[in-house]
Amino acid sequence: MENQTIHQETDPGSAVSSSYQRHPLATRLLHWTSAIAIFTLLWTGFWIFNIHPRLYWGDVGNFDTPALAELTADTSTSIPEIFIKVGDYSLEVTGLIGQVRRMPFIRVAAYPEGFKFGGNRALHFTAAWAFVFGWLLFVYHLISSGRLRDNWLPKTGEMSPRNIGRDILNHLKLRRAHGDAAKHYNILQKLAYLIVMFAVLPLMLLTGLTMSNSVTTAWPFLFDLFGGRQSARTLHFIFAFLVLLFILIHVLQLFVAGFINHLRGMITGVFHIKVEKKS
Amino acid sequence: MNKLLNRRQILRGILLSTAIGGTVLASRRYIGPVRDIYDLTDSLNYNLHNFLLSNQPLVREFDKADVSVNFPTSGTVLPKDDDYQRFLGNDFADWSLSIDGLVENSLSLSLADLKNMKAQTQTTLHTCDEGWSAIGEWTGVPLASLLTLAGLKPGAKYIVFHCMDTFGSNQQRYYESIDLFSANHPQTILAYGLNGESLPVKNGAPLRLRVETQIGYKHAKYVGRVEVVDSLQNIGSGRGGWWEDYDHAPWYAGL
Repeated sequence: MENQTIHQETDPGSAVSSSYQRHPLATRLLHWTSAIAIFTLLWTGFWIFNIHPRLYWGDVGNFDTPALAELTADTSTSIPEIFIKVGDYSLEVTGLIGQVRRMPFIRVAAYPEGFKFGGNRALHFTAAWAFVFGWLLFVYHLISSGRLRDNWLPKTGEMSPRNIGRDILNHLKLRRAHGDAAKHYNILQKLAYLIVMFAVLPLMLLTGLTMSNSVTTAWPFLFDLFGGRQSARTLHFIFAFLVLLFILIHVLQLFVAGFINHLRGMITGVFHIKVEKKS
Repeated sequence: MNKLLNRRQILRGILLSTAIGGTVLASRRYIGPVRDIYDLTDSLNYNLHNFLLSNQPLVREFDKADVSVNFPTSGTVLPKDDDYQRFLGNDFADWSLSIDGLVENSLSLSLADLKNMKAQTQTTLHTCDEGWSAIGEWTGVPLASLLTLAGLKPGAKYIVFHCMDTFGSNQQRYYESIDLFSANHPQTILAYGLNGESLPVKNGAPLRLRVETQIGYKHAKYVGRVEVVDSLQNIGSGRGGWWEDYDHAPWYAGL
């Protein structure tokens, strides 16, 4: 059904334009509800990070213990200088990011007037529930509709170094897929979707749960799995950064592959393809 | 062929919405009516966690060698209230904890009374909603044994902790509450000792709550009165705690 051409016309020029139903309704609904949930999680998560921008490893982490990475200030000068410190490296970011409030509390950004930290946390958990339901439905949909097998999993030969190498080159040259190739996900796209869906997002949830006192009471092995409560927190922010990176590339790729066409494909499902006329 | 949904998809949709609807309905076994999306989330967390903890497992204990010597603080570090200052000046010799509300016998217990009761010591990880954590060795009296001593009346559902520190921009005394399930957890104690010494003032002297299955702001410091109630409606603005009432913080804070 997906590859069925619902409309075809001969262009007066040299190409045949055809359109087809690219994404079924379930994919589109789940894509956008997940997008809203994940955006909310990233947004509220940023404000949670902001209140204590220090990352640790192990179980314990506070102002008396050394941080793996931190936003910190040198107050020995008249105007405090702000640094990002990672191990022995430090990068001065005075004026770029970092805001000096109550010493030694340094925050990445100022909280808006009337900001409620507790409400922000509550919203993070609300979005987390929406995300979990959405993720479960999405995985169920991918499997039951056969899209996981047909569209996501690499086909025979796709994982060959030659094919992957060619695809990397296509990406670097920002080359747009045409004709039949535009109908299928390319190998890097497939791998990105698979890694985000089945590795990064589940790890986000698990590291998040490892920060919960009651969940670790029921499942103390989570501490061992991630190396402690603070390690889980650090990993949670690293994975969140990977999700953000994925979204940025995902959106940038729209411009390469055709912004309106792909956006419409994910809203109404209709996707246009130009097929080169055989002479 | 271009129908948006076929019969199988509709059937699936019905099944899934039943599952989600059922979860939401099950969540109503909660502190009160679900008024907004915050309450909905709070109740989902509460129900899931109560299910996970149904057999009351113990929280992990840590090595005593790993305690944080200078235990970090949040909130009040020195109550300026006159009565507190008076108690502090006398090293809490004339301070007493009152336990009242829906109990058979209201109690008034001095610090010496509490220290004469069967003590419990536990080395646990404290986590703050801001993100930091620290290990402390806490000594105190299990809350469950105090509640047994007072004897709960029928209808008792929540334990409210009234604190001696005036807190926050609205200058109200701090208060917090937990349900009987958390109150009866074997590691829920009212602590008077930290790392083998008297509880420091900055950490809540003379007495603070340790409810190890939940996070920092539930662990009320400077506790002066424990009240047993059947509803949280008349406590503060009705959400069960200072942060809950004025900062929209979740009442159930197992996460």
